[in-house]
Amino acid sequence: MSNLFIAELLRFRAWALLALLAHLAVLGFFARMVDPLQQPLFVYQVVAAVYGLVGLLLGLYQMGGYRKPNTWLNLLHRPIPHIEVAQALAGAAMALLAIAVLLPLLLVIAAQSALTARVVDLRHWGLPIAAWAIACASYLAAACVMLAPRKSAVFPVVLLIVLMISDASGIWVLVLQAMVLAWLAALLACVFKPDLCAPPRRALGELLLALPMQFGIWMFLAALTLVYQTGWMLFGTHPLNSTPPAGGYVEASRADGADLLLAGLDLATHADAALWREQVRLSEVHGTQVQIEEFAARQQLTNPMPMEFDDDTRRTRYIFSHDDLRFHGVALADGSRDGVLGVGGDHAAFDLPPLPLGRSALATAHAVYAYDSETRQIHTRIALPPGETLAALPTPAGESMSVLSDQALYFYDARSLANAQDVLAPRVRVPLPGAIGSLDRVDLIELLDGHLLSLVYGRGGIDGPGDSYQQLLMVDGAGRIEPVARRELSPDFPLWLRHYDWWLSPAMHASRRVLANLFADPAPLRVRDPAPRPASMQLLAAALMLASLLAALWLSARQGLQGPRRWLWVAACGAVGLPALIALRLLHADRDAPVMEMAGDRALNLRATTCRCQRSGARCRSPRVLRRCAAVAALARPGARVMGCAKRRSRRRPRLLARRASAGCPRTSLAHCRAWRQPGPEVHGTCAVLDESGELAMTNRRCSP
Amino acid sequence: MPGVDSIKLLLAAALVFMSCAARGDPLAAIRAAQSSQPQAATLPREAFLGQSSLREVRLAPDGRQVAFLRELNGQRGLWLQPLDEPTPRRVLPKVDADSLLWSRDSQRLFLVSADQLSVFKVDGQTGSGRIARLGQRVLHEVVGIDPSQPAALLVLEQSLPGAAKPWSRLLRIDADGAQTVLHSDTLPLGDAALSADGSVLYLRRIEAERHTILRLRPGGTPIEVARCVQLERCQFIGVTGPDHALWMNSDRGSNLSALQRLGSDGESVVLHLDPRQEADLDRVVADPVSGEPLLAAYRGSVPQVHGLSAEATRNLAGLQARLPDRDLDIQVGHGADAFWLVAERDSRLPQPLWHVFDPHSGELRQILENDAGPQAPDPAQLARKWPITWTASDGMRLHGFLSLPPGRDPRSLPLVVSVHGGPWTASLPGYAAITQFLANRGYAVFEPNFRGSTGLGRDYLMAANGDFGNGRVQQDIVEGTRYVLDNGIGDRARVAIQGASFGGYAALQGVTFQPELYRVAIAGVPPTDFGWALRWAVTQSDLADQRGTPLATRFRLLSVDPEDDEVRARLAAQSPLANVELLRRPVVLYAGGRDERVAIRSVTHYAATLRSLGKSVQLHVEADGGHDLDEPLAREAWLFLLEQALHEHLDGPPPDPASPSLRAWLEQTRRPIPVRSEQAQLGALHATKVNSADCESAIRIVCRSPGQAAIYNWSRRRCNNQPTGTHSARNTSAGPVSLTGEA
Repeated sequence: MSNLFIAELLRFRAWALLALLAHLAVLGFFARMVDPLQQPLFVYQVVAAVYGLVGLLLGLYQMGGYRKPNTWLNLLHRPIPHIEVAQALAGAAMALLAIAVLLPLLLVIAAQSALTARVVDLRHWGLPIAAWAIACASYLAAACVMLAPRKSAVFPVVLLIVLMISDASGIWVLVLQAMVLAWLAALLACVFKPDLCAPPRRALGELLLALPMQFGIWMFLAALTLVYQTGWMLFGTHPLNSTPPAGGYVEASRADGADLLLAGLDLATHADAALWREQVRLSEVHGTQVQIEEFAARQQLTNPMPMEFDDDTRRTRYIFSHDDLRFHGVALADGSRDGVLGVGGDHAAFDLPPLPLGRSALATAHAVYAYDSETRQIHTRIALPPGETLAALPTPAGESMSVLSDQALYFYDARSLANAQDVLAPRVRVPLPGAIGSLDRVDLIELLDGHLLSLVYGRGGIDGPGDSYQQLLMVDGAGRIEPVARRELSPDFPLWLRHYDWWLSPAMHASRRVLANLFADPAPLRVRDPAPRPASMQLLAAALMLASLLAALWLSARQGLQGPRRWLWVAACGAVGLPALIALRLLHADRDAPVMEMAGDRALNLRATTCRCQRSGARCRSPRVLRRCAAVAALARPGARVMGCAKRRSRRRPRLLARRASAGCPRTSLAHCRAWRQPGPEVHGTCAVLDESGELAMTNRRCSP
Repeated sequence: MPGVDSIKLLLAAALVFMSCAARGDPLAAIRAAQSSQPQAATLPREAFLGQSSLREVRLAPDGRQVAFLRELNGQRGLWLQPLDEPTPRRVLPKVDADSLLWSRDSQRLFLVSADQLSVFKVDGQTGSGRIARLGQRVLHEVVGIDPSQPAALLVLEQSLPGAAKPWSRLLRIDADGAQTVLHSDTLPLGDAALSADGSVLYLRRIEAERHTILRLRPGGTPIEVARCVQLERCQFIGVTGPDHALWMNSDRGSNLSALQRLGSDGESVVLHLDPRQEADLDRVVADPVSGEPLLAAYRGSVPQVHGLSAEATRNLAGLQARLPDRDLDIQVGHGADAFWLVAERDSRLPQPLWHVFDPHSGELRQILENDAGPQAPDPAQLARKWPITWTASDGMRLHGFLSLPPGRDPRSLPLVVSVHGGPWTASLPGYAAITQFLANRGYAVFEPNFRGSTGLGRDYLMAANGDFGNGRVQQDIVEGTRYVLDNGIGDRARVAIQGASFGGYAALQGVTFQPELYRVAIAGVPPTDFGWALRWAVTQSDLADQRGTPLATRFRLLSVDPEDDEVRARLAAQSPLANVELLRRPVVLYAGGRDERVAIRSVTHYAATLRSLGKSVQLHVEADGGHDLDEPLAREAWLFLLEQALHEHLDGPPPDPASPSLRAWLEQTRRPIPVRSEQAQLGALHATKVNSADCESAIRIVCRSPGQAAIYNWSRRRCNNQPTGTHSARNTSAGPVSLTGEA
């Protein structure tokens, strides 16, 4: 094993060193230009994608080479267990990735920590590990792609998607990556077997492959709506790509603020509605909306945005440190250290990492801070009540500044916000009538004594579930709130499409949410109004699950599944629905059919429909398959089983048949067949190799129908 | 140029005035004087938009050179004019300074901007540059030059009103940027006076409702020597003499502000008072080095300057002989060979003329050509502003100004009552662009200084007694209008009222409560409920951040306490907003979207209320505009709207066609903004000027409310005596015509 490991290292040593140098050069260049540890999330995502691509390419190249039949036979034909061979290859690849990915990152971070005044937190040391884990996971996924049965080959990649959709942060990202790595490693061990066409033999292996398969199939089916909607767009009637339907959510989300208020007022029966209509026409319409999707979490590996801001007057850049929860100044002129900033005059630590969201505005989930260049101090200006999360920074609303939280809209005195430095008390608090995750926009005008508000709900549900509506409120100067009107917004998309990803598989729909939230902190800004599922959609989902269950009963029997495995599959199809049924069909071939039965009845059945290839389970309806079956039947000996189909009809000897049958196969296949042409085993078709006991020793997927 | 002819005219007018006054026709002289003049040509609108390019023209203490700021191509530069050289030179091409101060040694210039202090060395030596930043969240005011230092400023700083721990301090900032705290206090300071040795002698401390004048003993212990109560003025001028007496511009204990001398024992002596017993002391000109008061200037109905010493009186007489009957703003130099810098102002001079006067030789020469532009109006074409006085129904003598287009019969002129803002300001005798514009278009313009106006004594100011609703103050305006009409000025059937801020409020009051007198109101940035506006101002306006007596206290002392329910209820009940049902006359409104003195929402609420009642209202909102018309295009728009409204409702001359930029501006500021759905359905928002036998002209804005089309008549409706502002369904097929009335 160690020899194989070392040989594999030596095989790629030049590439690894080259990648190391190139990676170091690129990182060094960027470190000179920018602070690589204070980049927005998008940059980290792009870089992670590059690392993932490196791992993918390595896995495809390495296992692509080994999976060729003769190479594969040579590789496995060693006096060590297959699992150790896999460990040697994968271990070598991961060691190479450590040289190419992990080491340069560690060097650059160490250099930044030792040689510059830039902030290097504990969390930053997790970045190289995460990068390496992504590269390794991609490598393992690619290895599994190359070695898994053809029809399920692509699905190991789904495990990488789990990393992409996850909302976990900090150490939990590393935990999740470790879990994915473990999963992929186990899957690799299961598919690292002589017969690359066969599904994993053990139940665990089948489970490791089947679960991502079902999730991947569900995502694929869900993505088919894009095809549908693209076609809709081509017709020019798509709500998002044409004049939106009147009275719908899309229209409301795009409407001019005054139009929107007037539309809401059309339904109002308030005594002052006529006056307000005129006032809307004359007044400036102010607005706000959710501006912040997520806040920085303590010790998270990446940043939602660069955790730094510049004091242009003093020529100082302040970089936030998650370690001590304070900003550290770096002089822009010479890069030297230039003080520490906390909250208030005594520079207390922040309670959470703040996002620098404006020239001098900072925000955490619970407070808004202002930086005063003159005094070099950060002051708390707005503090939300406990349990509330900031959703939008102070936004001008006439004489007031509006501030949106996940539970309420606040109005503050704009002049006090500009002039004073203390914590402001809100003038008015307006509880939100819906969930913040569904709030699309807030429009308002100033009245002589208060505000007229319009709140449109339905965000995230343009082509999805959930009710859309517009709520008009009047808030007077004393904070009294009066509902003025509620306008229901009609759905712009058909019902089946809005709930498509749910009725396709409620279980997978829920799984996606669970996977996204696994190890993640609660995200109050993403909380949405519960989406009621219409009875028709629930019926559709139930019908689909029942149909899948029934189909699984039939299919599993046809595939020859037995015992708990079969019933587990049937149960999975009943619970998951269509994705599980498709996974079952892709993972398992139809039950083998004794060729002798067909051969014995050759005169009658060869041209009929009873011929069935054992490997593929395909009925020999087409003349081409019919010929294969005929050939196999002609060559089969009593007691032997046919595992593949011949290329053409022939009555010649098996060896000759093999050569001829391999005409359409790679040369290696032919060589492989020859190599295994031993007195004992029978060779039927290009790839089927049977020993005397009838057990499958080797096969070639390409020749299976 | 007015000159000798003016003197003759004045003499003749005075003779006629005396004879007519004796016959009970006090304005006959003005009518006669104006009628006898040749008619003025109609000047382009642009002629009234020009503003002086020169700012902060300052004479050096040695009286040998002048520094000033000049705006060229939108860029402000610092210029110097040595008085022994023929032309000025630009020494700094770009500065952000708002004001200039010479150092006492005449070697440096202090440049004061909103956020920093800079110094410029006149002799070209090194050392120019920024010397101090002015705090962002503190109030600061440069109170003057430190008389004890060759080059240092005195700056007062204080915390913002409402600060948890209020503080204030007096700073000395020298030309090198060194700062010395001369005094710290927990209460705001309003003024300071230093001795020649640099010690602080007097401070004015602002307490709750009064200002206390403190005399600081050598150890720094303050002793109260005087109090200024009930908004009495106590403005420091300087300290002179061995007894360190304090010179003040003050109305302590008297009706009119005068030059007072406050001894260290608290005894004050009035040294000079308006000989006409009419106006407050406007300004005292002191020697820039010794601080000795030399001249006293008053700007009541008639501007006056008086000498305070024999030599100053003699020199002033020499100057006034060269510039008789002019409104003079004088700066003096120190020393035997120092010149005087004289700004000559007049109601017919759009920009002051700058002169250098040699007190010894009596030589006067003009300097500093103004860049007024090619369309600057010829003063000969402009109207003279006549001071008039009338007696209110309660017997109080009131003052105002009358401007008449030359060469016209005053009896047949349409009359525009132009009300000043504030209300605690005044119409002044100098040039007023709107007044001159209206006079040039053939309107008689009456500018009343109703009771409550400033500059005419405390009694005049306090006589309003908070009656700013449909009460005494409005009566002053109405009675003044009737007085003018009764005395042969203006056509009684063609009277309009216009103004900005409080003037706009008064205009709305006029058309609401006196519709038989006023045909139309043109109101800029108007409060629509004065009590509400005052309460709003206390918390929201920029006035609340000004140094001095807190705004709420000022209002209370002026008898308009916004927290007083009775006052609030009275002003609300008498407001235009509460009486919209009474409105029968058309209203043109103009407002700024970022107005810090009058809430835009109060204007839009008023306009919306009028619209919902079908009244005739036209509203323009400059989205980024403030309380003043800062942009030239905004000023032109105001003149255009004014002229158009007067044309339509007083049968005045039509306005010149709007330029494309003005037309675009008017479209942009017009409210309501057409909503998109309407635009889509109607193609565009139309405004059409309809001519018919019955309707001479009316601007109609075609609107469409969901489900029906209607034409709202936004302008006057004089069609068969139909009530103004009603709307009726019409065919909306009228062709698109711009708001300006131009196809």
